[in-house]
Amino acid sequence: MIDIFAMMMHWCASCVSSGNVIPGAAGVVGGAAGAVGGLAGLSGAGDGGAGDAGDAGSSGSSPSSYVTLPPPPPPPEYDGVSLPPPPPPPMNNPDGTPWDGGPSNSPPEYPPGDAPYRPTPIGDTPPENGPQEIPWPSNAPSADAPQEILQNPEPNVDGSPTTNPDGTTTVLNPDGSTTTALPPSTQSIGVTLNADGSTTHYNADGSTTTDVPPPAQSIGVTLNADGSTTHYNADGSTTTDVPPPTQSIGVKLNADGSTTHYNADGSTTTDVPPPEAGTTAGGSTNPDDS
Amino acid sequence: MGAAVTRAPATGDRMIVIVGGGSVALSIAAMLARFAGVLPDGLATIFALVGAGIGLKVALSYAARSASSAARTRMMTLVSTVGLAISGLVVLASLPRITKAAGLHPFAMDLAAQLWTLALLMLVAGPVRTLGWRAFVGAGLTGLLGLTALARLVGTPLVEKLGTSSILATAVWVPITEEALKLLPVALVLRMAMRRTVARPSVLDVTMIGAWTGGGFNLFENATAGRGAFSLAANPLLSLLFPSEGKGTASGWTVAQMGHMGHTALIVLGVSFALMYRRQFSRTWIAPVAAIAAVLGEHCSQNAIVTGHLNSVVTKISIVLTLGGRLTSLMLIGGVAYVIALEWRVVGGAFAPKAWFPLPQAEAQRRSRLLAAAQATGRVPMSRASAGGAA
Repeated sequence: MIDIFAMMMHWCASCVSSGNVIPGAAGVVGGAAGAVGGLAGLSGAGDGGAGDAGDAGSSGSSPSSYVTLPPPPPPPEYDGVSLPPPPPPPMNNPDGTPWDGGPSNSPPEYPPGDAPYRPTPIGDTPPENGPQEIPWPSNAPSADAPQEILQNPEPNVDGSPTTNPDGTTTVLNPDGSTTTALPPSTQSIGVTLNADGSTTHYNADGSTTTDVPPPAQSIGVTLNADGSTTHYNADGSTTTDVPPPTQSIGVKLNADGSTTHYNADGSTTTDVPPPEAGTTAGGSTNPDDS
Repeated sequence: MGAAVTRAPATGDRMIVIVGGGSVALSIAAMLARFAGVLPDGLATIFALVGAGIGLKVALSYAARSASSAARTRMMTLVSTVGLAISGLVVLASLPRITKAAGLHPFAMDLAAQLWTLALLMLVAGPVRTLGWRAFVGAGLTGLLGLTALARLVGTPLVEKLGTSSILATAVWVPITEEALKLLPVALVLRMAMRRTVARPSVLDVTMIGAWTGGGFNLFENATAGRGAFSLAANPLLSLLFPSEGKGTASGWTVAQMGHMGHTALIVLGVSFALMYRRQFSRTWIAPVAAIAAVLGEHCSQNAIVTGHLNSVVTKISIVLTLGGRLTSLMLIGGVAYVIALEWRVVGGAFAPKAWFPLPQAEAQRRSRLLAAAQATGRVPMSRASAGGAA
């Protein structure tokens, strides 16, 4: 191998004889032209030079390649149907602080006179406080037994999210408040009410969850004086079934071939069969008519 | 340049056109006055500098406005072409003079050696590059013509006063000023880039700007000094990547000499990494500090060794500390490898060589948006799969 470099080199442009260099003014002009060429070349990102410019993103000195943005992508579709709009921003309390808790079991408090209207059941007055609860010992916790309390852990002070027992995550905000979010995989970003009463949630991870409401389950029934029955449903609603007034509760075959129905309301209905062929039209076969 | 600017379509741009045209006229007049012997070299250079500075500012303003108009963007492309053509003509006109010491052959060899490394760097940066070739060529021409002129303007008075064998002049003042001046184009690009939040260049983009600037500077210096060669074997392994890298001996020890291109690229790599990814990593300041220390250590010590006034003990200590002149080469290789692995994940991690060169505009914009998002949020995908889209 031949070492083509044998001497240490001097890294010094200023040490070169002036007779070998171009005048400084020429160098500056050429260098400035090159700088303008390079700077202007920044305007069109890529190797093809400038393209069509888009909307200006912001003010200030910058090459356009750093402010041009394409239009936003269209929303995803499911079977050709557009998804519902994106989820609303995080919920806040009325005082503006972030909502950081789950639904409360305690009844809402209303100012005097502002309580919402509640319809009363049709029919007889139901038992006070609704139907009587049927005790179910296996479900009732013992008063002495220790109760498991699912308490959320303290949020991390470094701002990283903590995972709660129910799967939600809580983040400590810089102002000291906390924000609780649903798990991303099951976070609904839209909901559709279906014709059968069920609801379909479009989750953030692309899956869908359909909630089918349980049927109105009767947990108590009252027979009213008019024959109707009032069902007290599990969801607090009531359903009153009124029997049809002409409902037959008995039938008697008469000698003339007719039938007499004894209806639930005490009335009777007689069905006369059509006359057979060969009999006189309009002629009565009822012995009461003779 | 002037002809292009006068075609600006918008009425509001007229003032910019007038000021820009005036500044270009001032610079050219100063250059012609120097050739005619009316103005001394120093004064002509200062006039040319003033005109060039105003012209650059005007170009910067126009580049910012070009975002709002397709016509202005096309205008900037025309301005770029004219500017590069003028600069190229100046280089061609200067060749007979700057190659007077050794002729065109060493210049051609050195040009091939510089382009070899730049091509390799361009290839490596292909997956994350967002800037076009015009920016790199402009940086190279600026380094070759403008920055060498500035470096001589700043360094020559002290060198002439103290002599080329002065350690203070050639081993302290010259290296520091040269390394600082070579960062000017990069400072301009970084200043623009760091203002943006929706689109950013990659660290390797900026590193290539520095490499091209240093390569141009090195080409001029080698040509005027009458040296330049291309070797893939002078320094084992390293010369495969840096065929312009020199090799000499001092106190009986072998010393590799990286040169301006690698030195500037390494400093730019450290500085831009610390600026752009400061949210991702703690103590990013270590990167530029280490890079600057290594570069100045090599540049200053090797210039001091050449003066002949450095004693043998200090010479050997400096050679050990710089790993025989290989420290900056190894740091640059390692730094580029790390950054490409990082930024490749940011832009999606896809292997799509067709989008490397030529770089489509849409792909450049896609990458710059992803880079901006990663740099702003401090989140870099840990794997290719989690990086999302691909080229």
